[in-house]
Amino acid sequence: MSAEPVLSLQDVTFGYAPGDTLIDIDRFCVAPGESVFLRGASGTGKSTLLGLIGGILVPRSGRISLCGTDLTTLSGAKRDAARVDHLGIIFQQFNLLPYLSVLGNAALPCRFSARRRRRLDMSPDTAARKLVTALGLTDRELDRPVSELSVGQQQRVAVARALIGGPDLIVADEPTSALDHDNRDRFITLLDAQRKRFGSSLLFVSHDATLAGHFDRAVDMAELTGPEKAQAA
Amino acid sequence: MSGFTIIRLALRSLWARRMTALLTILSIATAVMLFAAVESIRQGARTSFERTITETDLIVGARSSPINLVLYSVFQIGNPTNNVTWATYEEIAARPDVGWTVPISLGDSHRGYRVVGTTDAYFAHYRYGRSQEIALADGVLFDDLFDVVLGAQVARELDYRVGTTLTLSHGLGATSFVNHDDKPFRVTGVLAPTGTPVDRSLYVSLGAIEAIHMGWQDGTPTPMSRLATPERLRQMRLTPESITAILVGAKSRVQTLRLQRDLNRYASEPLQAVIPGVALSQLWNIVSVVERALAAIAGFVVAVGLIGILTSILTSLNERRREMAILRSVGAKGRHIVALLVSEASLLAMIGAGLGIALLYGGLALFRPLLEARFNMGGIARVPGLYDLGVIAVVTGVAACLGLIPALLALRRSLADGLSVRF
Ligand SMILES: Nc1ncnc2c1ncn2[C@@H]1O[C@H](COP(=O)(O)OP(=O)(O)OP(=O)(O)O)[C@@H](O)[C@H]1O
Ligand SMILES: [Mg+2]
Repeated sequence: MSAEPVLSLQDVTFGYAPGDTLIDIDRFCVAPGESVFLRGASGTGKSTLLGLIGGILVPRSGRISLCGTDLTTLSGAKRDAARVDHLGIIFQQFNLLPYLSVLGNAALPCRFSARRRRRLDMSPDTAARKLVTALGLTDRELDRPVSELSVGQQQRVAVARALIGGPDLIVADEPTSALDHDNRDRFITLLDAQRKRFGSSLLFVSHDATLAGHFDRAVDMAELTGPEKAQAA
Repeated sequence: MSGFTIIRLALRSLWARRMTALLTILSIATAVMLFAAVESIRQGARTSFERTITETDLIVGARSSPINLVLYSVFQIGNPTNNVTWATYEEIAARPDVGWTVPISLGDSHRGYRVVGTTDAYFAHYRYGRSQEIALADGVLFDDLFDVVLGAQVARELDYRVGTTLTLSHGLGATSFVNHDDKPFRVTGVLAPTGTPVDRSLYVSLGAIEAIHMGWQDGTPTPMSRLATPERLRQMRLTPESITAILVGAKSRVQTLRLQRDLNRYASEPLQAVIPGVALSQLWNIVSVVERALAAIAGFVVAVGLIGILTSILTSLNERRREMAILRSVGAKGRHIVALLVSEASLLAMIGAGLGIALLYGGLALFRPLLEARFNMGGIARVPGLYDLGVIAVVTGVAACLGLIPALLALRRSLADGLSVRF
């Protein structure tokens, strides 16, 4: 792909303890509009990698760029700004702040990012309402405290929050592991359809290899980093 | 991201934990209420105390210590050492720089309450608080030789009213063995409460003091005293030989100091003239050790309340790691996390302190009639003032500083946690 990648990692190394290297990635890119499945066993450093991409963790060496901006050269506050400007993040579960309403949760990134707010042609609340409705939540569920929603419904609110204001890349860290099989497929289909509408790329992380078929491309954490990467390259 | 949004988030988050938040607020409110109460009563008590007697320029008595003179002539505490002769009294009263004089004769009591022998001038000239006069709640002032006027507390505690008859005891103790049983007095008036020692006194005429001691020698009755029946006494012109103290009003304020100097150097007998305000201030400084100890304790209570805020936020941090991670994931910067927790601490403190002040003044307003009957409340503020706003501001500020501790802790944790929600 000729367009500039939304995410690119080059020669990135990272480890929590000084002597030990958990992540060692020569090269990894996500192109605009692309959906990538990142598979890896538990403890291989998937969540750590997301921390690096999100700019909360700082690599020991190498470059991490979001839409052409090198995160490693930015100050902490600028990395925080880049994160919300370019990324939509979905966690495994417990995505929502219990003290905010469904719409309050979904509109949250717009409170922190002027860029995300500007990309809407309506108020954050209206945009949030449209999104959660498109994701299949009814008006009745909108008025409920978020803690009363089912896990699947909560995850859909999290998708709405990740998508609002059309970020360049959606990063999902095992968002389906708390869902049953049917719900999982339906969730991924919905997520994929909605993010395509916004033209956002998707980096989907999971240890469940059977999901790989839903995505443009699948990458194994073990090939990306760690001892096996030489063979893969 | 405006500060307003952070405060709204902090409020929402607090509301979600409203039970613990409420308890924290209540503990701060109680602490601040206590502190402000001690402070305002401290200030008020001082003002009230120093206004126990006003507009009297000098108190004159036999030479002892100034504080002793004020104690026995105004507070009915302690014993006069010596008397002032009637001749001296008349001389002082006749001085051109003296506006008015009130003679006071002490030495008798009724069931522990002291009897003040004086004249109508006492009620005309005695002022307390903000120039308040002594008023009658019921009845009239003494007119007959055996009339007595009661202070409010005396009437209340002993359940006396106009028309009650009572007898006086010789001496100032509560249990006196030498009584003036043969000369009963009739209550003609009851004074309105003043919150000053006036409430604890009984007032009779100077003549009455003479009359009940007629025929006495060295503090004990002689057989002669039985001849002095009330009827006979009423016929006599009773002028005391000596009195205990004199309240003096100068013709003009500026002459007070010279008058004082003159009286202190009085030739015919050793006198002492005291400016009441000065003596009362000195007296207060003796008592104020207690007052300062109280204020220190109240300060510590507030400190404990503030530490309570710190504890409650610190303990909440663990269960809020997820909240922090979510906020970070949607773009909250490090300073937002810090601001969130600092504003949470400040909000708790501000609401708590505000509530405490509100409770204090609400309580004061509610109980004012009750308190006023017993204490001179003139010095105690009715509405929160700058001082109270200052208390709220300081408590909030200190809480904000303390809030930095959990805030920085949460920030460090949120960096370590990265973008994962672990539980
Ligand atoms: N904050 C931290 N400090 C130190 N070590 C950590 C920290 N977070 C994770 N680790 C370690 O790094 C390794 C990778 O953790 P990570 O959470 O990235 O794995 P993961 O691939 O996301 O696993 P899972 O699929 O179970 O979520 C683990 O061995 C973990 O113990
Ligand atoms: Mg993980």
